[in-house]
Amino acid sequence: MFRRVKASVLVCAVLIFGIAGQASADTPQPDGPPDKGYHSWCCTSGFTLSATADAAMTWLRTQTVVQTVFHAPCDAHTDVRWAQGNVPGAYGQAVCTVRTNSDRCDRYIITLNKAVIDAAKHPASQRRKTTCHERGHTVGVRHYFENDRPGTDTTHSCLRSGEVPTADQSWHTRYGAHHRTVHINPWFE
Amino acid sequence: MKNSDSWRWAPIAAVAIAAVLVAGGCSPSGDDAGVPEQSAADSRVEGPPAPAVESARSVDGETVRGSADYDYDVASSVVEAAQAARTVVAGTVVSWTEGRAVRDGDDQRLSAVLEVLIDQAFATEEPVETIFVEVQRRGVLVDEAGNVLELDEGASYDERSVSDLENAVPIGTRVLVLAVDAPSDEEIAATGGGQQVVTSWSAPRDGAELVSPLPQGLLFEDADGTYVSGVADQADVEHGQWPAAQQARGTGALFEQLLAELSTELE
Repeated sequence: MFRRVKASVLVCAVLIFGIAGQASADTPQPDGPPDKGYHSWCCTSGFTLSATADAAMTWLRTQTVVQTVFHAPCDAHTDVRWAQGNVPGAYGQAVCTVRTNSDRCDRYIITLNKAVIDAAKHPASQRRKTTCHERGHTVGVRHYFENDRPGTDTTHSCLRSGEVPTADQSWHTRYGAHHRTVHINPWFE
Repeated sequence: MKNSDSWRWAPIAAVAIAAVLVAGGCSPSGDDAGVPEQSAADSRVEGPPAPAVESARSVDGETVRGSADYDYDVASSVVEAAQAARTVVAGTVVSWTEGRAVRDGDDQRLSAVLEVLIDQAFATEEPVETIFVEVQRRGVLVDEAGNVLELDEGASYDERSVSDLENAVPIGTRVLVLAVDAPSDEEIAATGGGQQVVTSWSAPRDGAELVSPLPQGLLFEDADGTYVSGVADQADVEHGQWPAAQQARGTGALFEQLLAELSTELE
């Protein structure tokens, strides 16, 4: 009898913790995926970090199926505008400013907080990671904290939030397998 | 039914109980699951009723937050978050008014200002009665004269009016603010990104302090005594040791718990 009780408790625990654990590590992006098609980008006139922003587009293009195109100057249809400015308490921010009638985000502004990035322990690595991170938000993936990686990922990705603890790690410019295969690629294919 | 027969159903019963728990009370709710917060509260069938809190209003945090995501150092507790702030106060919402307009090329961003009458100051160098909190509310495209450009048919600006914000967080709502000084107009221009303040905020009186909340630093008391984030996503502010507001809907007093933790550690 007690074996059955134990088995029941075990089933219950597996169901509760298994499902709850999965959900906590992979909740959807609050504002959903963006509009489909080419993901265009531009830099605002005063933006001084264009080399890193360009690189972030290359990382996205080479690691996923997303096609990108550069706009110069920015126009009303550019999907992502890179800007720099003050974002209190953060390295960067991605904000949806225009929505389509199907409630997809049609236009994002990414703001990099250069002063805070420059004050980080590893500024160059931080700059790369934050540009990759914010770029990831614009294709519909959510960040995570510390070791709470999404899905079955066993290595970090640039969607890890916060200061980079060590310099020049490959994950600073990498989108995780879970985000690529479960969210980004299926959406843009 | 024999006693031993009843145990034959134990595994099935266990699965059924687990399914109910996962679907009703343990699954992510509110903003993250796209489920209205009221549904999460309605689906909870256990636990004591929320204690009545006279001042509590129903708060729509999603409207205040808009669609913004951040890369930042998450704090694992309200005390840790407070340690990164210059101003840590609790109070009540007095008003929502228009804030600054900042232009960057043809982009223009508008903010609103939330006035808070302070009840309790935890870490403020010079105690004041009121603070003013800058909240982002809109980003639009403008022409050279500053007129808002019309979008293609079917597209719309993701914006919140001051009235929307007031409806989302009514006057009298209690709020906890963990903030840093808002950058001055000159500091915004000096960031090197090309941003310029085209409409300044007019302080209603001398010495009025404008602050910017940290990502985990604008927390409103909801009608059931829990707390609702006004900047970072709700899931972010429930990280680590923060009281799990969404999980505890209906059990109440979590906003008070935040204040109690700050009182214990900071006062």
